[in-house]
Amino acid sequence: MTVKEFYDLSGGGYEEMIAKFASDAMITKFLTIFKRDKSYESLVEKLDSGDTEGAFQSAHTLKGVVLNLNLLGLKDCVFNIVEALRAGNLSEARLLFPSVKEAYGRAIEALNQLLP
Amino acid sequence: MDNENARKRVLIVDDVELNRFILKGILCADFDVVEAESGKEALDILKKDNSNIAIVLLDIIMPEMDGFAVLAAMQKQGYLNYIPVIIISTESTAQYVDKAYEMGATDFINKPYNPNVVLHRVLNTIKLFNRQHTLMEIVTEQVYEKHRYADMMINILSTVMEMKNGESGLHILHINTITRILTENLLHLTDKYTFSKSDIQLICVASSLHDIGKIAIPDEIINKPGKLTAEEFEIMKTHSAQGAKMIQSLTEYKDERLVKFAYDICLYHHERYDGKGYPVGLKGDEIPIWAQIVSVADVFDALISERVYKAAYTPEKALEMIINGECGLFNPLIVQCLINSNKQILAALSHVSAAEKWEEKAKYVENDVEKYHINTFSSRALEFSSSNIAKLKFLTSCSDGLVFDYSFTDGEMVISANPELGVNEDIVFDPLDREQANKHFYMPAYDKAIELLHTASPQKPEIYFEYPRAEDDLLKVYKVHMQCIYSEDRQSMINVIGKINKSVRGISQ
Repeated sequence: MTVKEFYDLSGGGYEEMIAKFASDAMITKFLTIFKRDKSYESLVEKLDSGDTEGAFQSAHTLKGVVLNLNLLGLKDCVFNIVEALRAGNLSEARLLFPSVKEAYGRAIEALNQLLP
Repeated sequence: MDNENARKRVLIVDDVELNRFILKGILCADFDVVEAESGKEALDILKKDNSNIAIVLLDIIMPEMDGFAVLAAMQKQGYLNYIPVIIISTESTAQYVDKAYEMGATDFINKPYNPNVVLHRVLNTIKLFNRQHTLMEIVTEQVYEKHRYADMMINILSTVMEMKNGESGLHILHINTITRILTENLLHLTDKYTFSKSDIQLICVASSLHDIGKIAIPDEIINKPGKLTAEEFEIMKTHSAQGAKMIQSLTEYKDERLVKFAYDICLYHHERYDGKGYPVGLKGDEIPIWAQIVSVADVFDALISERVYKAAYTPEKALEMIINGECGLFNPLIVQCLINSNKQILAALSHVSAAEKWEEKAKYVENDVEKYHINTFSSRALEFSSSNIAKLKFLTSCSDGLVFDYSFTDGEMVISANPELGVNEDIVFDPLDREQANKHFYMPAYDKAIELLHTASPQKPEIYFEYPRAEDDLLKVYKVHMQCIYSEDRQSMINVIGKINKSVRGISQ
């Protein structure tokens, strides 16, 4: 699987990344680190325990990662949950969460194919 | 000054590994990259060794200690004065951006990172900071040099005049001091005149030249102990015009403000407000104000000093004579300034000691530094010299009593020799060794001193306490003054200088 195929599967964003960072090898290094990033797990945990502030921090971190990797498939849903949590609205965030879960799941599945 | 070519370090502070990794990838070709996973780790790194850290890239939202807290700590520790911070954040809301700038961040970079933009922002920020830093060092150095040379020339001149006319060389230094105080007072009293700080400085330097024309007057007249004959007095009076002529002959500098001030001061410092002075007989504000100021300074110092032809008057008497017009009539505004500031003048004159001059010099430099809008960096160099000044000043005020100096770096206490108190040579020992300390100090007072030292701070470096002791049936009291000197970064105490006086308070019970 190529890096481009990973991006296509996860929701797009490859063109901008390759324009910025010039090589697939570099992007692959970033993705290797993304694979061990724990901000998503932390978001799940904080939402479950009802820690709005903690959930905001985790979602915010995830947003930074998504932006830096230009993971377009995750962009909108992560943005939305960050704003809900920033407003302190935990129930809305819980309603928005399934879309994050789905998009993240798709990205991780693709990532596991790229970097088994 | 930093070596432009030395490989600089960038400190990246972000709790997310991926973000640090991307930045590292962008910057590692041009910099050594140091990473911190948390705010606390970043501060530890800065504290341990911030040499050659050219810039900090700082994330805002981090667990425990966030980026704002790091900025606040960097501000407090003074790091922001020499290390620029670029905020790297996912946040772009005005609330965050404004707060970051307000707290001293230099720039703001949003995610996602664009490698080219990041690299150039970092390079440019460092370049700008370095340039500013270098320029400030150059300006500070030059301003300092300028004043040093001016001072040197004044001192040379004072010595020359002293040799020529037997007046104390202090006269010129005194005129300098009095002129400065009167001028500052005048600006305070009225807005009729406007001088910049550098004008005041130039007028003071020019005042040193007021009597330079006396070089051309024969020694027999200058040094005649008795009253001058009418004819001799006429010759003496030519010194103002002679001085002005000397200044005028410096055609190369004729457009300089200093030369303009010096010319007026030489020529007109014996003019009087009612037109009864010499050599021209100018009246009121026809006489340049700087010459009017110096004429008051000249007369006041002449009155309170001893001369070959007269004894010194008391300052009160001198002031009275000037107010009554016994030495001719002066501008009432300047007389008012003299009335307002004569205490300040007398205090200043009594302190024309080495330490005071140093301090004054530092003040001039500080003023100019302010003028050139040099901010915080400036004063890192100055603060160090001010700590030396504090030390000098304290010691010079310690002619009586037992003076001691403890250096934390050497771990040594030195008690200075003072034969009057039976200490014939310097005593050096380690005061933390109680056995040794006990030989030289009264231990209850010593313990009190240690206790109080813990309460000192850079803001409050002086400590004073009294400690009673019964000795030879008398109740004596130790008066202990201590001055703490701090390191350049104000983080640690490096010296304690102190003075102990002992006095008898009564008969012991």
